[in-house]
Amino acid sequence: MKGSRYWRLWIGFALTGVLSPSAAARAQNAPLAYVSNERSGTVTIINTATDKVIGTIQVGPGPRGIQDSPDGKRVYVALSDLARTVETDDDAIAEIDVATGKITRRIRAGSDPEQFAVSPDGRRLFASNEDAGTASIIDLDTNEVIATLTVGIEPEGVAISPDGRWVYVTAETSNTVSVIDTEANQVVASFLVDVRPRAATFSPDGKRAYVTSEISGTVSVVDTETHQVIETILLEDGEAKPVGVVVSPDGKRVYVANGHANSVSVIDAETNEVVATIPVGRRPWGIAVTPDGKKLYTANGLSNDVSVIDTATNKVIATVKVDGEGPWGVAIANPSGN
Amino acid sequence: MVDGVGGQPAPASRAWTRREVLGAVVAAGGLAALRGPAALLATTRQDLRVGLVVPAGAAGEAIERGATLGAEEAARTAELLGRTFELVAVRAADRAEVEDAVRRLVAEQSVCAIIGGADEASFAALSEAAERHGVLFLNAACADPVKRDEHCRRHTLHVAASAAMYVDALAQWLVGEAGRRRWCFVSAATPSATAVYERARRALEAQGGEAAGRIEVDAGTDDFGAVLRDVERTGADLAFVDLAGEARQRFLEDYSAAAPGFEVAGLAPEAPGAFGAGASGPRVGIWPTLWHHTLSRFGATQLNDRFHTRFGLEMDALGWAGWFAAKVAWEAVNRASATGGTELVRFLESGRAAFDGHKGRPLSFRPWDHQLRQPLYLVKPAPGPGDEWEVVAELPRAARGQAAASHELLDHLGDGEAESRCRLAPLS
Repeated sequence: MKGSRYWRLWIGFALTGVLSPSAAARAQNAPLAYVSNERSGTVTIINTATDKVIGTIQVGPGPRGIQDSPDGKRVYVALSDLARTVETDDDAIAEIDVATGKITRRIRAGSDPEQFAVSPDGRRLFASNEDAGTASIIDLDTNEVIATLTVGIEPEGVAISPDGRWVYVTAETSNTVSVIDTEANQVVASFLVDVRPRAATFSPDGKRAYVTSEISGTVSVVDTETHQVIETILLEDGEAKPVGVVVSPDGKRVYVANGHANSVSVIDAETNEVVATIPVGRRPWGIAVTPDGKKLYTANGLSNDVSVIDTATNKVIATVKVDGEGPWGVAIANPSGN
Repeated sequence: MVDGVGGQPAPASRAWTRREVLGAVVAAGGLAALRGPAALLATTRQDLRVGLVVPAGAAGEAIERGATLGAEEAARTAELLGRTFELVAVRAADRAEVEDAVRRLVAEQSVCAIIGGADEASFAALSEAAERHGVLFLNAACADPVKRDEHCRRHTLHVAASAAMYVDALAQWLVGEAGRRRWCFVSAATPSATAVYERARRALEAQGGEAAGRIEVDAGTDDFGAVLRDVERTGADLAFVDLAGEARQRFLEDYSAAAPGFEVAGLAPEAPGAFGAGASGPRVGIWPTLWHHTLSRFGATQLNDRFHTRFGLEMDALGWAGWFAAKVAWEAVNRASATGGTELVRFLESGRAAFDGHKGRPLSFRPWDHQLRQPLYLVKPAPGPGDEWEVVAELPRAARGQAAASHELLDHLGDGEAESRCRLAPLS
C-alpha cells in the first residue's frame, strides 16, 4: 500500500492547488486540448481557440493515455507509478471534470494502465495493462473492473469502434491486435500486424481501423468486418517511428505522429498514400484533432511542447510550451458540442 | 521449465530463484544422460517447435533461460492465434551428440530452427549438422572470427555479435569520443586472436588512431607484471585486451593492482552475468556487450522486468540472445508462412525481415554473412563503492543531422560485404 500516501497527497493537491481553465476560456466554448505530461505528473489545458495554456492540473505519477468522454464533459487520464510489476494505489485512471478542472474520482484499472478507450455511451472504459499483459474492462457507473482479459504481451494501444462493438488492443512484443467483442466481453480474434504496434484508431464510419507499428515504420489498414489487415502503408521508407494515430472527422485523412522521427504523416484514407509529412517538435507521441477537423495537436515528449497544425495547409501554426515535462498524450474535449 | 515450455501457462507473477533454475537445468541434463546421448526431453503439444542444443554449463544455461522466455512469449502469442509453440531443449556434449540431437529434432520434432552456439565446438558442430539437415541454426553466442569464417553456411545465422562488431564499437567510441588513440594489443598467439588483432587494428586506424604495439601472451601466463610494463613502454594510452578466461582475469587483477597510466578495454566473452551486480572479477575497463540489465529505452525496461520476474536474475547478453533467437524463429515462421529451413533463410535474407529486440531500431540479418545488424553497448564500472556496471555508450552513433536508414547505420558495426570473408550469394 505504498501508494496510498502519495494518492492522498495528489488528490489533496488536485482539490486545492488546481489552476483551472479560466472562466473566459470556458465562456468561449472552445474545445480544450488536455495534454498529459508523463514526467511531471500534470495535465496541461490549452484553449484551442487561442492556442494558449489556460491551466495545469496535478494528477499524479506517470500520466500517459488520455481521452475525453463522449459528451466532452470529462477527461480521463491513465496514471501509473514506477513499480510496474505490481498494482499500487497509484495505478489508476483519474477522471477530470472539464467544467471545474478538478479530479472527481480515481478509477482502478489494473496494474500499469497505459492507454484506454471509453465506450460511445460513456459507461465503460477499456484499458491496457502493459506489465500484466491484460486488458481491463471497467464499469464507469460502479467503478468496478468487470472483466480482465488476456491479450498479447506488452499491450498498449486501445481503440473502440464508433458503434462500440469492437475494441482493438495492440501488443508491442507480440505484434498482435486482440479483438474484444464488447457484448460478450471476450477476446474473439487476434491478428498479426507489423513490428511493435503502438496505437490504433477506427475510421468514423467504423469500416477501417489503422494500427501504427513503430519499429516497422508502417500503418496497417484493417478491414473491421473481417478483422484482417488489407494494406500496409510504409512511412518515410520505414524510418518513421509511428505511434499516435487519429482520423479526421470526415474520414478523409489519417494523421500519424512519428515519434522519434519528429514528424506527422498525413495519409489519404481513400488511396492509403502519404500525401504530406510535417516536421513538428521532438518525439511527438499523442495526436488529436479538433471536432471541426481544422487543427491537429501533437504532444512532443522531448521538446516539452505541443505542435498545432493547420490541416488545410499541413503547416505548424503554433508551438505551445507546456509547463510540465514529457508531454505524452493529448485529448480534445468539447463540452459545448460546438 | 525445460521441456514443453509452450504447453505451460507463463508464471507471470512468479519470481524464480537462481537455485530453482539451475536445479531444473541440471535435472534436465541428468535426464538426457540417463536416456543416452542427446536424449530429447518430452514434449506434449504439437504444432511449432524450436530446438535448443547446448552443452552443459553456465553459457548454455544462460542461453536457455533467454530462449525459454522467448518461447513462452511466443507460445502465448501462438495461443491467441490458435497455434502452439514449444522449446525443445537438449544437452549435447560433443560433435556426435550434436549431430544426433539435430537429426532427431528435425526428424521427430519437426523443429523450425535450432538455437545454440554456446561455445566454439558446439557452434561448429551445430552449423555442420544444421546444413546437413536443412534446418535454420541461430547462433546465440559464438563470436570467434575463424570459426565463423570456416562455417559460413546458408543455414547458419548469427544473433550473437561478431568480433568485428565489438571492435568497431570500441574504436568508434574510444577514439572518437574518449580520446584514446594509441592502443597496445595484448592477446594470445592463436589464429583467432590474430584475426581479432588485425581487424581491431583496422578499426582503430579507420577512426584515426594508431597501434602502439602488439604483445602476444603465452598460454599459461599467470604473472602479467612484465606485460603491463611492456605496454607502458609503448606509450599506449590504452591496452586492448583479447584474452580468454583465466588469463584475462589475471591480467585485469594485475592491472588493478598496478594502476598503470593507461586505460584498458577489449573483448570480454559474453559470460553469464558478466556485467551484472556482483559479477566476479576486477571492476575495471570498458567492454562491449549485446545487452545490459540497466537498459530502459524502447521497452528494454519491460523486457528486463519480464526476465527478472521469470528467473529472479538480471537479463544478460546470452539471455538476450536466447530470447531474441526464439523470437526470430517464431516470427519468421509466421511472416514467411513457412517452416522449412531454406524458406526461412530466404525470408531472413530478404529486406522484409525486421525484428524488434527492444533496441530502438529494426534489426535485420545481413544477406552476405547472415550477421544480425544491431546496436551494441559499452559498459564500465559504475562510480561509487557498489558492484554495478553502467552503460556509457550505445553504438553506432547516428551522425548529427543525418538520417541514415537503420540498416545503413547499423552496418557501421562489423564487416561490410567487400570486407567480409563470408560472402553468401543471395538465395534466388
